[in-house]
Amino acid sequence: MTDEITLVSQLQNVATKEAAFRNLISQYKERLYWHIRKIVISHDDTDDVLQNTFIKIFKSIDNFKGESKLYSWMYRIATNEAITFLNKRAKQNNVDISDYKQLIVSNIKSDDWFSGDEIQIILQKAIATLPQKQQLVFNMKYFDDLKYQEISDVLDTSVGALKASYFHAVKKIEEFIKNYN
Amino acid sequence: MNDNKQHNEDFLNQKLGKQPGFNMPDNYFNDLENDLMSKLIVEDLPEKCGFETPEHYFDSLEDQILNKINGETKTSEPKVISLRKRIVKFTSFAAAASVVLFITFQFINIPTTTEETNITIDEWFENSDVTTDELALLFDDQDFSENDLSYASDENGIEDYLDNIDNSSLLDEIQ
Repeated sequence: MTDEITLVSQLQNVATKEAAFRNLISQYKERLYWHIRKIVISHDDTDDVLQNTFIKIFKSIDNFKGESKLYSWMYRIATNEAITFLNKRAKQNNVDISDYKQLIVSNIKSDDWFSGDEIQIILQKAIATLPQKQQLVFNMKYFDDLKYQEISDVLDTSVGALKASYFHAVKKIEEFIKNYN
Repeated sequence: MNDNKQHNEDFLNQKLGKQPGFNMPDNYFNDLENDLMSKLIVEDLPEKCGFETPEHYFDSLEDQILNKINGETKTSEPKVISLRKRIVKFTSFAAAASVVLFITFQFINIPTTTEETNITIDEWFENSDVTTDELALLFDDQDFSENDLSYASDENGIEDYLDNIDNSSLLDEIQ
């Protein structure tokens, strides 16, 4: 894996930008894909958002000053793109983002690219009932296994607040599953 | 022996102050209970989310994205527009427009809006079946104030009125 500083300088150099960008996509495509997928749920929508995310990264890489880590900067862009996408879809359907998320999760069983069993469906339904920030924290901590400090860099929230957020999320999920019939 | 041990402990206490030198994050013990509870709860949750991707989806992603970027760059490249051609085009258009405007103002008498409106109302009134009685109904008593007849309050006024009035209508009244 190319050293991050070297990669950034290659990305910011016109002569090496395209090759470096190909390298960047290879390194991060799967991590960003799964991060986006857990927010927007459908594979096709994830594909759109992922491509838009990389295009945005390509266009704004010259403005990256290295004040945060490259991965957290990219995660931030991916998160914003995914939430903006969901908001647009929710608006088109005249519902708010929370209702829209619950709507798409309620149809998850018929999704060609979902092979989860009953408990996985219930878990997705439980996650969809959480406030947006708790959903992000739960997914990044539980599924992506990121450290609190890494989540803090992406969401710009203190580690303490993230821990509390994760705890509340987990408790609500537990409650949801217990009461699910 | 015991004296020696005591002496060593005193020496260490003096140097280290019984501090082992380890540190921990702020609020570590405050968060510990919640962290443990969270871990216990998630033990029962499925490890995978159940989402899948089409086969080989990730294989061609680099090419797809780079093609998209190159496509966007090509379409967004600005066209080179000849300034000279634009000026010549604009000048000829401006000249033609000036001639048309000049001819219009010099030779064509465009009626004003008020004139047009009056003509239209007159034509409508002449060609319509509205009677004077129907028109009178549109006005109520309030529309004619006494001030309209104030000129008749003195003799000169009455004379002026009789001088200016259309006699034929008076004759019609007498008959």
